[in-house]
Amino acid sequence: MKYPILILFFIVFYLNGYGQKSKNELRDDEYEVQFVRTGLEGTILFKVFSYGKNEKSCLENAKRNAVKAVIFTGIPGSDLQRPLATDPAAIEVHKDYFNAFFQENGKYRTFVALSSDGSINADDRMRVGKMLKIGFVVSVQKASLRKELEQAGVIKSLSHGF
Amino acid sequence: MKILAFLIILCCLSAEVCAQAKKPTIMVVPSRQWCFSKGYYNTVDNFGTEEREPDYRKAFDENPELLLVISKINSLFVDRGFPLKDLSQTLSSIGRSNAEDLALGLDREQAGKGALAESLFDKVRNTAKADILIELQWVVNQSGPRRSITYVMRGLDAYTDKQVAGAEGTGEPSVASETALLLEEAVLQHIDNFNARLMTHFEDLFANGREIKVEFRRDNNWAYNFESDFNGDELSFQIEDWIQSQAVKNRFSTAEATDNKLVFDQVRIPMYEGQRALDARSFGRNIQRFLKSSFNIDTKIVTKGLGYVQLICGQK
Repeated sequence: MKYPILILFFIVFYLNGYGQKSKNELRDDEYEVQFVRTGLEGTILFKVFSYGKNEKSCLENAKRNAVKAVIFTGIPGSDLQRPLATDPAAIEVHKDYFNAFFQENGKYRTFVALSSDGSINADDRMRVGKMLKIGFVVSVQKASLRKELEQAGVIKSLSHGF
Repeated sequence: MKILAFLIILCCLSAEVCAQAKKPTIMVVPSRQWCFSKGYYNTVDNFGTEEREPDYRKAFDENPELLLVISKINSLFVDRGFPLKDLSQTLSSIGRSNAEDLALGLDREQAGKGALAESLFDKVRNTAKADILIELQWVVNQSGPRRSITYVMRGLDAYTDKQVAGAEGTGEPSVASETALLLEEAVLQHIDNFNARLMTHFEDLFANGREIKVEFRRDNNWAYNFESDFNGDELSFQIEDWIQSQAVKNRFSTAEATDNKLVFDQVRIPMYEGQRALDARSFGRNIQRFLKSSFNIDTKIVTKGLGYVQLICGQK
C-alpha cells in the first residue's frame, strides 16, 4: 500500500514542478520597458522590468529582454518607436537564427550593457508570487544590432533594392 | 561543362545586378520658413510680384549650426549605407552653371524669346536631381535659464511634393547645453523614426512605382483637339488607355479632360525600364513616341521638376 502512495506523491510532485517550470519560463520572457533617454550615438537607454528567481536571473533575463524589445516591439516614446524588425513574423521566419542568438551566453550579450553601478532603486524591486521583478536601466547598441541583423538577412537595410 | 556552369552563374549574377533600381538621391535643406525667419532670403521680382526665396549660400556662410546639423544627418545616413547629396557642393555647382544660364538667356533675348525664369530652389532641385529633399527646421525655446529645441524634419518627394517621412518633437529642457549640443541630440532622437518612415516609402515605391503627374496641352495652331477622332476613337480615351496600360498596377487618376487639356495625376510609373531609371521626362518621351507612331502627332516635352511632365500636342 505504501508504494502506490509514494508513486502518487512523486507524480504529483513532478507535475507540480513541471508546471512551475513552464510558468517560470513564461515569466522569463515577460518584460516591460520604459524609455529613459537617447544615449550616445547609436545607443538607446531604457529601463527594462524582468522576472527571475533571484537578482542574478532577473539581470540575465533583463539583458535578453532588452535586446528583444529593440528587435521585436520597439520602445514607446523613444526614437525607436518602431522595432528594428518591422515584419511581425520575423521571429518565426528566422527561428534558427534567433534561437542561436538568444541562447545562454549568446551573441545578444554583445549588444547590451547594464547602465548603472548595479544598485537598484527600491521602487524598481518587487516580489510577484515566488518570483522577483526588477527594473534595470540598460544601454542597447541599436546601430550595431541593426547592422548585425542586416548582415544576417533578418531585416532590410535602407538601401535594400537599390 | 565547368565553363558552361560558370557562364550560367555569371549571367545570373549580371542579371541580378542589372535589375537593381536607381538609388534615390537625398539632400538635406533648411526649410523656407527657417531661412525667412533668420533673414537668409532674397527678394525677387516674379513677373511683377515680389517674392522671397531662400538664400542657402548666405545661410551656410552665416549660420554654423546649419552646417553642423546637415553634416550630422549626412554622417548618420552614411552609416546606414545611404550617402546624401551635399547642399553646399550643389550650391557651388549652381554658381558654375549660372554663367552658362546667363549666356543662354542673352541668346534667347536676342532671338526674341522670353528670359529663363528659375528660382534658386528650382535650381537646387534641378541641379542636385534629389529624389527626396529632407527639409529641416528648428526653434530654440527659452524658459528662464532652461532651453529646449523644437525640431521638425520632413522628407519631401521631389516628384510629387508629398511628405513621405517626418519626425518632429521638442527635446528635454536643459540649463547647460549649447544650441549645437541640443541640435545634435535632437537629430539623434529623431533620425531612427524618420528612417523607419523613409523605409516604408521605399517599400511602397518598389511595390507600386513612382508617382508623377502628366499633363497634355493643345497648341493653338494644331488642327485637332483631344476630342478629335483618331483611328476610330477619341484621342483623349486612347491616351487614357495607354497611360493605364503603362502605369504600375494600372494606377492613375484622370484629373481633368477637356478638348484642350488632359491632366493625369497619381500616375504610378515603374522604378526602371530595362536598365534605365524611369522619371517623368523618360515617361513623357515614351508617350511622345506612342503619339508619333500611332497618330503621327508631334509633341513637345516640358518638364517641371522630376515628377511633372507636360506634353504640348501639335508643337515641336
